[in-house]
Amino acid sequence: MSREKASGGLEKASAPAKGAIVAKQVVKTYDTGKVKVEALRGVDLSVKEGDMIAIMGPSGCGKTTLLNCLSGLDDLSGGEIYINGKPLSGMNDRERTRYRAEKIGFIFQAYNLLPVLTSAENVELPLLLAGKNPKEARKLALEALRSVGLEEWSAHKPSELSGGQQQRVTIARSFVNRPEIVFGDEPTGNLDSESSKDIMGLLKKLNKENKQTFIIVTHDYTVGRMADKIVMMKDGLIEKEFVPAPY
Amino acid sequence: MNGLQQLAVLVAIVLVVVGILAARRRVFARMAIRSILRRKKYSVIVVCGLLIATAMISGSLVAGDTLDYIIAREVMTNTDEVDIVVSALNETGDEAYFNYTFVSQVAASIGAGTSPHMDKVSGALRGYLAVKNLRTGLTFSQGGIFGFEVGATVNPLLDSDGVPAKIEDVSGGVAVINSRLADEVDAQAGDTLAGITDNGFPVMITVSWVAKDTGLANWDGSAYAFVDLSYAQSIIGQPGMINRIDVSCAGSKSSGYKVTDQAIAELQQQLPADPDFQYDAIKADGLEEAKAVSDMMSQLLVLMSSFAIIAGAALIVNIFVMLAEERKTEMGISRAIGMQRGDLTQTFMYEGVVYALAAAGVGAFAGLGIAMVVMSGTATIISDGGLQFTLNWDWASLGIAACAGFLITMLTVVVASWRVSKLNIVRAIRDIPEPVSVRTARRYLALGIAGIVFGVVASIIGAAQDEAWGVSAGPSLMALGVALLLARFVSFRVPLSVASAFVVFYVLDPFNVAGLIFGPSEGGMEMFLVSGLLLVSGCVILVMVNSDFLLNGLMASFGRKRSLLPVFKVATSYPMNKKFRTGLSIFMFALIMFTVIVMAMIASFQRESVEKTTQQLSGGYEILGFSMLEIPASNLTVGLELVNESVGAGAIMSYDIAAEGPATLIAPGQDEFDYPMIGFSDRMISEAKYTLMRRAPQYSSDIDAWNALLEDHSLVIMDGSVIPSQFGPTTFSGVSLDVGDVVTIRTPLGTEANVTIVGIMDQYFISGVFCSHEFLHAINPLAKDTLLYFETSHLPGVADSDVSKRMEQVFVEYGLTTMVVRDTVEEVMTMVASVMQLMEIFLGMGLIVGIAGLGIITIRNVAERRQEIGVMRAIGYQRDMILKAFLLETSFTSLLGIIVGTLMGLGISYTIFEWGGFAKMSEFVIPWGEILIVFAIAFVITLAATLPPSRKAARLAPAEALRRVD
Ligand SMILES: Nc1ncnc2c1ncn2[C@@H]1O[C@H](COP(=O)(O)OP(=O)(O)OP(=O)(O)O)[C@@H](O)[C@H]1O
Ligand SMILES: [Mg+2]
Repeated sequence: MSREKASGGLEKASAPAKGAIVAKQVVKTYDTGKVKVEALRGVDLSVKEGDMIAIMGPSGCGKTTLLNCLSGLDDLSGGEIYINGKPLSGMNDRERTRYRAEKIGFIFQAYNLLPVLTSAENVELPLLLAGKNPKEARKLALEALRSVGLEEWSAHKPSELSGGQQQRVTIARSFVNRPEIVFGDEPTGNLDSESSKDIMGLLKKLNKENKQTFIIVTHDYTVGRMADKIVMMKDGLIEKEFVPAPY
Repeated sequence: MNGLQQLAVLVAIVLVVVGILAARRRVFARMAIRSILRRKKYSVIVVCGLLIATAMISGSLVAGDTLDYIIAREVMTNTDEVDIVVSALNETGDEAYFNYTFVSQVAASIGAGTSPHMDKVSGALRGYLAVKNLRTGLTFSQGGIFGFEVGATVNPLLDSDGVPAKIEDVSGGVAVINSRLADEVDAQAGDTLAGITDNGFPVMITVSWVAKDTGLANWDGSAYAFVDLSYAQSIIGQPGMINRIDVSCAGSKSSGYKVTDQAIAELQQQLPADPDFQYDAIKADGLEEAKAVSDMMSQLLVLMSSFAIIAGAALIVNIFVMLAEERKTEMGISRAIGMQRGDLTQTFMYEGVVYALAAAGVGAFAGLGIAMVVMSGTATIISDGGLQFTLNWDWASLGIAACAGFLITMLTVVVASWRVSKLNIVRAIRDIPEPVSVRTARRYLALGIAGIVFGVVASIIGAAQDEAWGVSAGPSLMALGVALLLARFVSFRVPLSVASAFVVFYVLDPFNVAGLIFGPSEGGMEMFLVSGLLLVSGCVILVMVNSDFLLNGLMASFGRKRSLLPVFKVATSYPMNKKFRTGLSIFMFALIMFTVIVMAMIASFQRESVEKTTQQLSGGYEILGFSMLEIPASNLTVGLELVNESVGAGAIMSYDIAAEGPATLIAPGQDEFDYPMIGFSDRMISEAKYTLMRRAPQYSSDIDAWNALLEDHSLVIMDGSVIPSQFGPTTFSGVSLDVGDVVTIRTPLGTEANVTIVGIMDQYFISGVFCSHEFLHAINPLAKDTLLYFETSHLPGVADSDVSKRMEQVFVEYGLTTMVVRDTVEEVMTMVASVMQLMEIFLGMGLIVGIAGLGIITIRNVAERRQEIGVMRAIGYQRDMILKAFLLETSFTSLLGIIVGTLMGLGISYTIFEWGGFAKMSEFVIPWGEILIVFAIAFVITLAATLPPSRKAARLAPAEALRRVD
């Protein structure tokens, strides 16, 4: 894994690679009718395959917005995002959705799971979306739950789990179909520091073993420093990028 | 105070109480109004769902008002100025002729002012007249002759322009005929009609002109030739005599009837006791009858509306449970900062008041539309659409509907508000997903005990008073109550499954278990409601407690298509996680479908009963004939030859003649009844043409029983109308008799005979005491051979109706009226089936409640699940998959409801078929086409109603949906 500075790597990264993301002059403006909010004002970012990036910055600086744009959940107002060399703007909603189903995993801070489904059912959804045999999907889901230490909770619904447990189910879901890129918006947001550490350790392990790319938004430096690179944002722009001191 | 005033006072009290509460704590009322205005579309749907119940009540009442108006109008035009008709009876109970001088007597007293409640009087002689138009050759055997006082008639005769026409030339054989008679024989002014009166006197009548069917010419809705009184007296052979006095009461045409009683009293003073005068308050009675008929129709419709009312109540509960769920955190916070439980109840209630007021107001007017549908249907049924009508309503009817609708809705609103504000505090404060807390356990305990107590009470009433509703509801409630108690110790599934399956089985009762336990019981229309509620609730509970199995089964069969699996999964998981609201929605759909299906099935039984009923009623004779005069044997053969020649050789295969004689039937312990005696020919008896429903045990076959009549003249067989029908203790004929009973028969001449009933026929078409021809003539010299039974050979291209018409023409001078049994049966059955279908449409309106309910649920779901939709879109659900998931979810609920309702409807229909007496005369045919149409309409409208919110869900931008905004 490269720990070199990534600031000059734009041209190189535009070559197709698994799990590589390049953002060029990304602008995102919210027009609420009364006021226009410039949430992103020209962000350049390049993430290489297998990187684990942490995005940090003060509240309202545009972290979530950037994440949504990078993952194709939201449309851009300007600029371009290339995933594995392919521009996102060239894909329609259908293609982007399929792309998310196949290549991308999500961990959100809250409201992650479908409350009416059990842990196992939640985890197997991406596999079912990919058209996997239901039996096999269940098997893989249980395996994923085991790897986050929740095999005993597979038949429970989210409301019966603690916040940390729910978060681990989400993580199991985010990697069960081996996505190339996992996006996390404050994946440890409402966990105590001990649990956050466990979870980050888990993510780190997946990142190492499966060469999955991780892009994680966090407020917590102890979480951020576990990434390969920290991207600091301010007022809709990237302020600086740096490699955190090894822990 | 009348009904409306009482209701209005209640409504006022409710509104004042609500108003005072609201004024004391304005903030709650303001909150309620804001939540209504914030979601206008949603509020509109809520009101639509709730107004149906009010609309159906209002529609029922307005339909009644309109029917009352139509019948009353008919009575008014058919009687016109006449309010009272005086006739007289002789010793034998037949109509008597009396002297015209009585009219002069009454006229004199009117003139002298001693009879202030009458203003006009005239004498009339009305009789039977069969006619043949010599120009067109057309005949009509059911006409009448009306001899009236040309100079002093109470009613005028109007020409086609509606102006009183000259009647000076009506004298001798010159007549004015009404349009009805003109139409029958295609007559016009100048035509000559050959006629025959019922004493066989042939006449020739010249048509002077044709009168419009109104006023005198519309008299009792029949076809008449109006002639001069003295001419009528001469041809009927009663010079100087009349058989009617037409009296008009003081006052206008439309108000005179109000003094009918006083006028009759004056008449009684003027007229002697002998002859035995009869005073028929023809207009007052007719109007009263109109009121009675229309009230009956209103009541029936209101009863039917109770299904929609109950579905509407379920809708309210559903809406409030959803509102409470939506505001759970809000409510928790409110409670935390010190709001009382009662305060929460109030905010919900204020919201409910607004919905209830709007629904009642709009519903009362929407009822006009429903009444329009019902009345157009009725018009089509009773006159093939020929009946012209405009809606006529009493504002009081709309008022009653609005008040009743408001009160019913309000009652549910208060109960629902109280319940949800109570329930959700616990959940909101603890914020736990309903484990079986002590509270809920206590609730089930209370519910269980209530079920058992009500069940026992209902069973006792059922057993003691033979009330069918008690017999049905008692054990059912007990079973459910016990199941709820057991559920405290084991899981819900087993006891509730067993209990609800028991309810379904017990109410459908294929083996007549209830009959074995409770013996026979009696129920009326309310049983439709009771069994519908029990069956539908039972089946919905059964489905809901076993929904997991059901879903696994569905998943296994439909989930094969992998691309649909993720859609299927979420679509079914949501409704199963909100079992209460899903159950209520299914219940709403099922209840309404149930009623619609039962009506469709009964209509089908009626349609399918034509063959069997015809067989039973006809005894194998296709055509029945009734003649006024006996047709001499030789003339009959010659005439039938003539008929055969014109329609086709051998068309009439054979015939039988039966005699008919008036008689009075005296059964011990019952009122005396005029009941004709019918003497069957030997062949009819020895071949046992008519099957017996019951026969005395000593006879091994119907033939034996019939033949006994030939040997022993003290034995008779009765028609089927003396047996109580399955619809109640009453019989069609008014007397209730069975085999083995000994009754006395008295002829008009006073001779009496005691006879024993040895059999009761299946047929009830021709009622009478059936005996041998020989016996009837021996005991009753007034008996005449005027009943004719014809068997036709169904020649290709020769319809029985043609044969029948031809016979009427050939035998017009004997006043032969014929009837094709099959056609008559079919006509009656089609009419009954149409009435059922009209009910089907009326009840089907209730579906709107269920559809509105699902629409509301879907709108709520989309709002509630924003975040989840966002997550789903993020992990790769395509837009159309979200749309499909939502549509599948509503389809799942509505289809389940439709299926449950259909199955239960078919089930109870089979019970009605088997035990309700249809099995003998009909076939169990399921009208799949009709059911599919209802099915499709319900389903398509549901989809249409839930499509917009589902689309909205699918269109949500994922990043937008993920943001936590409400
Ligand atoms: N849908 C929207 N409409 C209007 N403004 C928006 C919208 N989404 C975000 N914004 C605005 O864009 C800016 C960036 O928002 P964003 O959610 O990306 O911040 P963030 O860095 O994730 O903050 P936090 O750390 O608090 O989550 C904010 O000023 C926010 O108000
Ligand atoms: Mg954020």
